[in-house]
Amino acid sequence: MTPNDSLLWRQLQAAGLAEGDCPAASAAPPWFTRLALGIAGWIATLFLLGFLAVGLEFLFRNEAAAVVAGLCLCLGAAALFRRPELGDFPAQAALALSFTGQVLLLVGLGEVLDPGELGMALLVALVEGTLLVLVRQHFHRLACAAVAALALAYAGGELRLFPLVPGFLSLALVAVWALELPQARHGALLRPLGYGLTVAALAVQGSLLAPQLLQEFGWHRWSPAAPALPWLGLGLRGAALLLLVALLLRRARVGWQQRPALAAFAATLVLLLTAAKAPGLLLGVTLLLLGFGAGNRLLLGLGLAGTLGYLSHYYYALQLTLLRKSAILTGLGLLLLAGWWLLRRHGDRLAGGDHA
Amino acid sequence: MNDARRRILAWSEQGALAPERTEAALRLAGVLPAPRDWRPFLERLLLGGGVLATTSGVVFFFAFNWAALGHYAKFALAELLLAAALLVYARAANDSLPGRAALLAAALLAGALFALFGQVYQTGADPWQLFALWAAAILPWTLVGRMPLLWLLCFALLNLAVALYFQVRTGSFLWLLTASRQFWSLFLLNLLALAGWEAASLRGAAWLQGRWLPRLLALACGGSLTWLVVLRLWDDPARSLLPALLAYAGWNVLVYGYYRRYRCDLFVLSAALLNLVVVVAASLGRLLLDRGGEAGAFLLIALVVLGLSAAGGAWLKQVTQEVRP
Repeated sequence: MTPNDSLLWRQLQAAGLAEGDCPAASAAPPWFTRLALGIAGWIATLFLLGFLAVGLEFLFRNEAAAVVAGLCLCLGAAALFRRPELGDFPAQAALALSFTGQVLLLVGLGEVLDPGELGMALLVALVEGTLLVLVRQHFHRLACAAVAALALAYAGGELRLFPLVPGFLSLALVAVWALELPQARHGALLRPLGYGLTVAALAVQGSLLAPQLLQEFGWHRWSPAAPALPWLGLGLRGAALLLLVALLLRRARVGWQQRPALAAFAATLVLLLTAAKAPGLLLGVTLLLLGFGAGNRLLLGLGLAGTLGYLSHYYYALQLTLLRKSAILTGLGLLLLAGWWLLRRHGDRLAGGDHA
Repeated sequence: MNDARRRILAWSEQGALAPERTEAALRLAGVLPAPRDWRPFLERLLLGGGVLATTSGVVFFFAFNWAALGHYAKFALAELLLAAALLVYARAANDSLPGRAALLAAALLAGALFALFGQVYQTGADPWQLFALWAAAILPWTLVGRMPLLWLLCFALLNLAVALYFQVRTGSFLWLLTASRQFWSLFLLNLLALAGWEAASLRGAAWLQGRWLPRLLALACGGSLTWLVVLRLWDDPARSLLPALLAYAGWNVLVYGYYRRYRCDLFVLSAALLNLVVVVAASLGRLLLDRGGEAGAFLLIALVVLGLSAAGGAWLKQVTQEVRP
């Protein structure tokens, strides 16, 4: 317990929100420290794989052995992470062993089952999703969530449904982040899941700006029976953003029939229609609203970085001419500036006096 | 805000705080925005987004190089927009949001103007010269503007200019794989920027107290030096490794001395730890695997990396406990 912990706890007690003695201070390091240690774990994993490839090469020649060894490593790591007082070296070792085990397990299963590309993607999603729940370590869960989401995105591409993938990812991340506070007790699972989905959504959005990559996999084509697929995808993104706006209004205790709510929904619909040809901006706005609404500066930063990254690569997107992109961005920009002016001039009226 | 958030969510996870009270607790601690906090945020979002989108649209427009416009008309349009942005800045209140947004727009439009100049007159200038000139042109505004974002733009342009300068000299992006003056240049450039920023921030000006920009600069310094050391290891170590290693050691001493002892910054320390792991792994890899990797060598390196990261992690945890009051 630290002085600031104690002060905050007393404030909560005074407001009737907490009872009893102040709990012990959380020892969790900040996100960038966990990221650095996670990356170090990955570096160790590469050398462990080298050790296995050279010293125990039969593991890579015998699929069954690879599956068994991979399973043992993953389950062993999961068991280690469940120990309450795990030392730093065992924790790092368990992380590296789990990553190594996953590579072995997936390579082995791929050889044994030979499921094809779609099947392999679903298998990866299943294995990573299972480990996401089993292994109680933040960076590990984040990595599993991101890989599982990307594997499902790959499966979506194989099914010629890639235009729907960004929308589904947006819906999933809004749903998960919306649960963070009401289900705070499960924060150790929800937060890394949320970040993993966020990373995957940003990566998928980035890939959409590289049509040659999509052509490589044949994902730029979809069934002639579903010509409206891109619009459906846009609809899903819009649904995610509208859902988020609705949740934020509820959290602020603003009724949906009230003026601020109507203005918020109207503005969201206008943004959706205007940004239809620059959909990456919708993801950026979603993350910025999520971050601000939950007091999560990391999410705010990811939203800002994602938006800036999207804009800088939008220049190279070949689906539209530069002139059209210029018109879209200028139109969107002027609309946003008009919205800013309206808010400054008529914000009090829109807020109805008491809100905002 | 982040500390209170972390504490409250940790208490909820432990069960010390009832789940239905978590939101109220976060609100009390000022973590969740009150309804009145949304308006300033949305104003900033709309203004910032509007300026960024409009300026990007203008830049794209000139890149399209609309042939129907004559040269004079193109320059008139670009210069008019630039003048309008500067006028808004001049008339806006000191440090107001519209003023800062207008100055940022002007800085971006200056780049569009230089690009247009290069397109129209076909001066034969190399790409790095555009970015260098752009950075030089906006430097006075950056000094006056007192905006970290504008400084970030300036530093990014200078880094890009240096990178493109060496790309021109080697002919492709293979310069990434050839260790030499480019990474020294990037390291020294960012070190100078970082030193200047930290020195200025010690004077106490409020706008210099944010940590995100010096952290990015420290990341750039450490990253370029680490990459230099790694490339030297695999290049011609006998001749050129020692200066890189000495610089790397000096950088780590500086990081420890300033960011641990004087102005504790966990972000910079975490990045330095990761850089150290990379350098140690690369060094051991060069030493043990160069003549044909044996299994034991891989295992030894893996164990060293695990041990180093575990020890570093334990140290960072200890520093975290000291820093979090």
